Amino acid sequence: MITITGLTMTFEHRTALAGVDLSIERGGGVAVSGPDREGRTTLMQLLATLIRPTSGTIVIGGLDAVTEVYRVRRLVAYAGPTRILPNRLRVDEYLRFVAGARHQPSATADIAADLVGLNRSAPIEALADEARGQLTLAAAIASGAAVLLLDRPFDGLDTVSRDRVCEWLVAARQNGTTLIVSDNAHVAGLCDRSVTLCDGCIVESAAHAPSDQTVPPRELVGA
Amino acid sequence: MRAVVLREALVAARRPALVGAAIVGAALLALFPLAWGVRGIPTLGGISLYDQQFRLEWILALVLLPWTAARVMATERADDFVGLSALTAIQPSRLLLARLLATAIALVAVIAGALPVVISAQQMSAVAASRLVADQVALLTFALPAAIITVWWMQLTTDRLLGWLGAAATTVIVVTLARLSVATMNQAAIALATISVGAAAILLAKADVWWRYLSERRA
Repeated sequence: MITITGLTMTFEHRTALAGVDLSIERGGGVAVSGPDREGRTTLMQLLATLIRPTSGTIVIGGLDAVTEVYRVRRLVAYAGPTRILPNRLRVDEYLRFVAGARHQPSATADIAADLVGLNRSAPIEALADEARGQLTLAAAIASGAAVLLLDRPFDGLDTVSRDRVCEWLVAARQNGTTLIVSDNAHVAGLCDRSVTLCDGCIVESAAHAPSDQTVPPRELVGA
Repeated sequence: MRAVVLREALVAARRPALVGAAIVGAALLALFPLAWGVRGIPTLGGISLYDQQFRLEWILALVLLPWTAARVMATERADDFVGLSALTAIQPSRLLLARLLATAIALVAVIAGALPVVISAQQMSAVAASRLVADQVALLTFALPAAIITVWWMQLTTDRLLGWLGAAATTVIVVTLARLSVATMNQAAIALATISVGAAAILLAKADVWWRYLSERRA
């Protein structure tokens, strides 16, 4: 589903990624961990086609993420440090807008809001920063995308919401959704592989046992 | 696309500026005959109340429409616009087209809000209904260039005030130039609408390139 080859990203004064290679099959799950500012968010933004790589290739669903940006965007959904402007919309209106734009039924939006524990009728203006983070996660869930790119998705979620989201993500993976989670928390139950990024390179890669539905959700993600 | 147009229209409808502009426009037009009487301003050479009010309507349109457009349109621009494209998986050109349509519709609503007052003036001045229709259609057509100019400016600058001032100044300049080039204001409105469609096409053609990626600062 995703093939990354020789991926390099250089900003003006620093190299965020220095030749990353990674391959993820459909329905696979990869946890990306590592110290802050060592390339995790950059990798997620590159996969989300939000930034253009300096060199290397990213192929998602058979499409080149540089030359076919807008077609790749139909396949991926990114939840990360993205600014959400309220525009006088409520949570449910915002999520239904995302679901509608992605040709998903509006019920998906309501499910997503409930999963992350957001009050559907709350105006976005009234949401605190943490809740806006939950909203980006809900938007990614509501998108119905084939690839979910979740950058620190559990920040700001209470235990109950976190368990619900984990259960949903496990089910989504079993239905073929590819998952990449950038989080330093233990997400082994969610993902079948973990990679550690340091100085812009993958320094460690480990495979985990296949996710087991019988694993209680709260054991999937732990601090 | 439908979801985006609906969202842009909802955002515009929720802004108090939309209703405010419609009320201010209609109120000032209604107050005009009250302030000056049915003969209108004496210095305007005895032209009918309707003609005087139509001039005022144009002046109000020049002032109010860019301000209204700048106030009612959704606020994503630059990097936020890139984020919106990634979130919805819709190309920036389509997002902008939806914004243009929603803004133009909002401006049409502002102009249409003054119609009862304008029709009263037409009745009082015994002006032919066909003339009223032609004038108002021209004015409604002007909503399109006003929306396009403002969307252009609001995408180019991150500051809403600067975007509004730029749009207002550009609108006044292009309307003046158009009026100097053709015989009537109605012709000027039609000419402007035609030219602005070209300007919109350029913006939409460039949008997918300009707003494809986040700026390095944001990334």
